[in-house]
Amino acid sequence: MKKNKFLKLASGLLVLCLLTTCVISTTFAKYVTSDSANDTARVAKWGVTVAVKVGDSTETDAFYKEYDNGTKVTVKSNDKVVAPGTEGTLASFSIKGTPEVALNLNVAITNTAEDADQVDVFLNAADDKYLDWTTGKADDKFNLAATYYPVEYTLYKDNVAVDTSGNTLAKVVAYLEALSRDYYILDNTADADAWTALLGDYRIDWKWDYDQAAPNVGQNDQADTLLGNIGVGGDFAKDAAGNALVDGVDYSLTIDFALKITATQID
Amino acid sequence: MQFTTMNDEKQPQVNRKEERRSWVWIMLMVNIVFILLLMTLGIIALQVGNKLPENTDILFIVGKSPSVEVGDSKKWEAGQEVDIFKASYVNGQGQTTVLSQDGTALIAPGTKTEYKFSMYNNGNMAVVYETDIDFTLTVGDESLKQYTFPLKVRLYTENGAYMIGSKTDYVHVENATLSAHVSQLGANSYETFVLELMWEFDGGNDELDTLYGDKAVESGVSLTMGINTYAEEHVDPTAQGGTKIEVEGNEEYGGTIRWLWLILLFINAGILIFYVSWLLNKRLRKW
Repeated sequence: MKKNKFLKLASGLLVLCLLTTCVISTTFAKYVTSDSANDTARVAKWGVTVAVKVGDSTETDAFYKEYDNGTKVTVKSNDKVVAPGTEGTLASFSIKGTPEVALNLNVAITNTAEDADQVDVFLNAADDKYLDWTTGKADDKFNLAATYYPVEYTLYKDNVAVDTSGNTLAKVVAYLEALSRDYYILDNTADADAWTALLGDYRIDWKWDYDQAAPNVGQNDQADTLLGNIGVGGDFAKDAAGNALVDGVDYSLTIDFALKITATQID
Repeated sequence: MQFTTMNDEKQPQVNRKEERRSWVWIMLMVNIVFILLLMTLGIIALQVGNKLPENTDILFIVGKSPSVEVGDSKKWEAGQEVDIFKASYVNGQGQTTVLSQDGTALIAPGTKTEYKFSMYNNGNMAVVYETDIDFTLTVGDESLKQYTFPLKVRLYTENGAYMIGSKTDYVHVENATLSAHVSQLGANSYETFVLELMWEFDGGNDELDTLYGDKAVESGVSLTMGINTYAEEHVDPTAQGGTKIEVEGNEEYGGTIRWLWLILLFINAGILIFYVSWLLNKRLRKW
């Protein structure tokens, strides 16, 4: 009896041991877990392009050494010149792109050395100063009530003339430089509309009229002739008092123009 | 009167000797087999248990209660998409400087984003964990293996331990590797991680920034980021790490159960050895 009880006890313990092996093996099972997460972002679109070139899409120069009227050469020089009856395209440029970021547009117009403002051909207003070379009389003079800019400039956007409040180079420059500012196009409707409105193809054409239309025919002949003579130098470049006319003050015979447009993301 | 012969008396003695020898060997073999069986069971339990795959369906768990969860405001499910990047960004003046045209998340020069996630060890034993992040740059349909990208990253715990970058430096995403980072989290503890991603506005490479911006228009450029965490039980269930979670109740861990099993094993083996030896002795004395 004692032996059976002991045997039963031992057997029971053995069974218990086997059972706990299964159970306890879970406590020996090493716990391992992993987790992961991900996200994707795309790079915000930029794609703003500003292309500037001298002349227009077909011409590579703003000015030439030779001009013709379709059949005959009317102007010829060793240098690039402008003269009454000549015309061309000063520059053309385009602004395109609708980015996903706010941006700044900067239109900078200077001389080609980029150290001063642009320069245009002009004859300063003056009374009794300028010799009149159109009469043939040595002492004849003419008055100029307002500064004379012989070359007229017209800004076109998508081939439509833009009202720049005047057709001098300065007026066109002022119009373009006024486009320079920050454009918060993303949450400012006015900025977004303004940006959309300025996108397009631009062209700045220049023209020196051969003559004025009636009843002002010949109105500018004295100033045009004086400007043409000043370039010869000598007595041609003197005023009625015999003093040399000052370049940059009394006149300019040069068009010096550089256009730089930059679009930059703003923070 | 009973007639007997000499031969009849000798034969039972010879049979009993043979039987005695057989019994000795049988009992010895049984004794050894039982001991070996118990030991083997113990070793198997120790070895197999450690190699059991995760979530193996074993009977019921006693003592050990592991539980690790990772997430931000919600627990991550495996491979879950979370909101690390944003679809719009504003500057210090409240002006929107970056805005997605189609609502998808964006990155651009000047954008900076921060993402927090936490690892909670709600179990009753310590774990060791590993965190790593990976980036994939896709241009058009092509995933690039080698690239230079202006986005930078740093990763640190709220306790101030930096895993990528430092307090003053970020690391370019193509150079951000974290495979070696291992740390430990105590029972009922948590650790919060802060992930910062930044594309410097003036990073010194406008050309590269513009290239990616234009490519985004042309064919699309996207960056996918993955955060991977691994955790397994610590060899020392009482190891400390992280910030304690206030819990009620007593702590217990599987170590106690393991010791109980081992004690039970040796007691059982001892009892069986004793019993079998006692039986063997009794049997031998009888003969």
